[in-house]
Amino acid sequence: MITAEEYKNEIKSAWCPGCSNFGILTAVRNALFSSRIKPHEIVLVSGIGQAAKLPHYLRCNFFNGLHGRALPAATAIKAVNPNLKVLVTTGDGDCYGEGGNHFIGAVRRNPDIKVVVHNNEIYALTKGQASPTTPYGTKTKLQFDGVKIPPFDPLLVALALGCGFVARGFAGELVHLADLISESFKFKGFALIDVIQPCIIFGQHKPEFYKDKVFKLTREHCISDYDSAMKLLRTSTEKIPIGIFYKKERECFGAKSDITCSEPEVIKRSVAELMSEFC
Amino acid sequence: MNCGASEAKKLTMRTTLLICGKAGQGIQTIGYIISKLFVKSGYDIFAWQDFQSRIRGGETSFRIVVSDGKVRSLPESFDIIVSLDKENTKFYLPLLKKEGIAIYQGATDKNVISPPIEELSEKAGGSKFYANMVLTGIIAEVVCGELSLVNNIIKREFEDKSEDVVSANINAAKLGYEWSLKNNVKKFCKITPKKSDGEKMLISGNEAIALGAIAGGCKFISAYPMTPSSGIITYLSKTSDKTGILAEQAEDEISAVNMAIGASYAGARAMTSTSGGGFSLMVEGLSLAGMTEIPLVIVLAQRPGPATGLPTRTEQGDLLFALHAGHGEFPRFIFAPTSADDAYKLMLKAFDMSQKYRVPVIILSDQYLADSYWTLNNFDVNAIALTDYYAQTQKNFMSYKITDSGISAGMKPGSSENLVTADSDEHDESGHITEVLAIRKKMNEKRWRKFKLMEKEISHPKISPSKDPQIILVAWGTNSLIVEEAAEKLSQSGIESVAVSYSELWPLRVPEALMNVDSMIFAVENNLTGQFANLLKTKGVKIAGIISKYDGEPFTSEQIAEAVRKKL
Repeated sequence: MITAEEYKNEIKSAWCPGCSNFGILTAVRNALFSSRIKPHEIVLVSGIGQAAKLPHYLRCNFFNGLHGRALPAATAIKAVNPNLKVLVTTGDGDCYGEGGNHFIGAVRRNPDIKVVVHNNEIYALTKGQASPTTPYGTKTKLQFDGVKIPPFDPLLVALALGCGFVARGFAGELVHLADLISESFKFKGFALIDVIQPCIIFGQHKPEFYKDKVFKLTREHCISDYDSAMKLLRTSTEKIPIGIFYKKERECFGAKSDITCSEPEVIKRSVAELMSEFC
Repeated sequence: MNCGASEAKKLTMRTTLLICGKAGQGIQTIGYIISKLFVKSGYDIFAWQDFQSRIRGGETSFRIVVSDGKVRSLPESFDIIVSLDKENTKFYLPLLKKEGIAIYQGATDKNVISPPIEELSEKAGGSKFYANMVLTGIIAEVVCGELSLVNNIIKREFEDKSEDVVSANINAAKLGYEWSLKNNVKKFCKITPKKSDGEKMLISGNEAIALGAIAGGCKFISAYPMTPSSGIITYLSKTSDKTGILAEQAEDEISAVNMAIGASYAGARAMTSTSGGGFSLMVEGLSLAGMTEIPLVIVLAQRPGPATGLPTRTEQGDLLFALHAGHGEFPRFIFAPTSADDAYKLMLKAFDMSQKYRVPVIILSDQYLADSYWTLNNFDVNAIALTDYYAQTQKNFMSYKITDSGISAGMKPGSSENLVTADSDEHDESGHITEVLAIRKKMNEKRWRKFKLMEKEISHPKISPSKDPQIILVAWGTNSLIVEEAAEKLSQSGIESVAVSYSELWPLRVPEALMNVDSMIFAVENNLTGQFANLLKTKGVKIAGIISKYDGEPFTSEQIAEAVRKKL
């Protein structure tokens, strides 16, 4: 039996004291051990940003790559060795800004990877510029007279692209968030969990503000109904729904089995066979 | 049609053909079938294609050099020029030898053979669509090829087409062949069929690179289509059912390189391929491979730049870019194949070196190699070794263990309970982010320490034998064989010359033959500034001059010989 302790390490966090990232870290850890995944069976993949440091704070395999480029790396890791579990931890700037084209590519390609986006609606590590999800009109140091472009809606875009697991979590609802991540591991395909992660330094609102704003989707919402998911995401309301909006499996990208071994005898045979085709 | 009397000339060592037309007319198919016919008839060929960056129209040619010995470069002019497009011939006819033969429909010149190609095509398959096969039949007869061989080649080429299409194509070739026979076109028959062993391969540069990748153990390729590199992933994709390779077209080159690095982290031998513009996008990923010490092979098929440049032409303009690409300092290998044969072998070495040292390896190809066809003996499959460089001991495994050699053996994640890490930040031995500057210093030194050992892996350049030559011609990559031929020509004309050809460029090794010699050393390069010459100068090699070509076309040996004569 695996315990949460196995995932703990001694690495000192570079997050701000009181940051809601700590909550997400706890939820990820709880989801991993409750899904009975051992530390050597999973690869945590990230890009650059505060969210992308999360893999360092768990004792497991990790690939901490380049800003915006977590999804291509994660896609290929899972594709060549389907025995590995792959979870991406990324931020709104990393995933929806710098990595925008990869987000589109990965959703369409549908590798069996789980993506947790710490969406704080701001570039915090670079000290407070607008991110793709910063609300229209928000004033920042750089966008001093307000953001002039409408925000990117990740869940709506993902659903439009055919994403098979579209969910929203909240960093202040840890049990709910851990459940979402555990559910994503039961699902085969690209799973997007966009997490409301209020930034305590540059955020518009404090975490408490969201506590009353969010509400959990219930069974009344049919998660296999594409149209009602679309409608729900397109309807703007005072309250913010969290939970799974849509879930449907489709064909995944990647090899059927582990292809990481290059067997000399097998390769010799295929090279010999291929050479004969040139004769 | 005015063919004149039959005056079959004697067999020469070298017969040259140029087949031209508009893009979309099937010029490549004619060229490939005729090339195959020669190989099946026991000859060696070398062929190269020139295109324009368009899908239909324009000028395109397929140039074939045939000989019964080794063919190493393209000629200045051609014995036979055939065209599917009358307009087009204006562009290529200046390349016809004085005693050469031209064939195209609608010619008014009585010295040109003008077959009724369209009429024969209609007769064969009810449309003009089979014109290229009519012409194939004519050429086959002119060069004394056997029709049965042509039929077999067509059947194989069109094996995925319907029976009707195959028989119409065969019929078209037959009608062309018979027309040529009946009208006694064969006055320029320079080639008599030889007994063929039939075992030689006809293979393109891109195919040889791809086959080398398979033999090197490649299991994953991700790439974004870009001329002239696309043939590599295309071949690896269409053969994936036999090899088990996963070939994926990425959404862009940034994704392509990061996917390859991800696959390699997971333990699969992985590569990507591109041309200059795409490589520009991969540069950040190259630096990631350097920092994370994850094996990576990149094929950079050069074409003239800057920017979009001449997309379908050739150049060697990216050497210094490949050498300096990527922020920060990290070791790398750069290889530049001299031929299709060399390309295959260097791909094996590239994967091996990349695995052994956990560094990126860049293969510098170019359009000249990518789109050329070569006659080769089968590669020796027993030379495929695929050494496993992964960590043997499982105790205290750390992904970035500091060692004397600088090499930290890798491990496949999931293969044991050990944890495998990779970090683009500076990191400690366990792979975790560090800002301890003393560790940064040690890690930077560790990575660079590998370079000393990497130098020892490099083979010296090939040097043609000679005593006290007057001239030394230094070449790298695809120029090498042309330069070797030029050196022979110069020597024959009394200017004692040797060629020094490099295919393993970096780490740079300079042989004694280039140091402290009285010979004049010329660097021959398909670029403007003499990029390799500049590298050699840093090692103390005295370069007397640079012979450069940067108009998008490859050198001919005569151009090089002439350039040397002018410099004397």
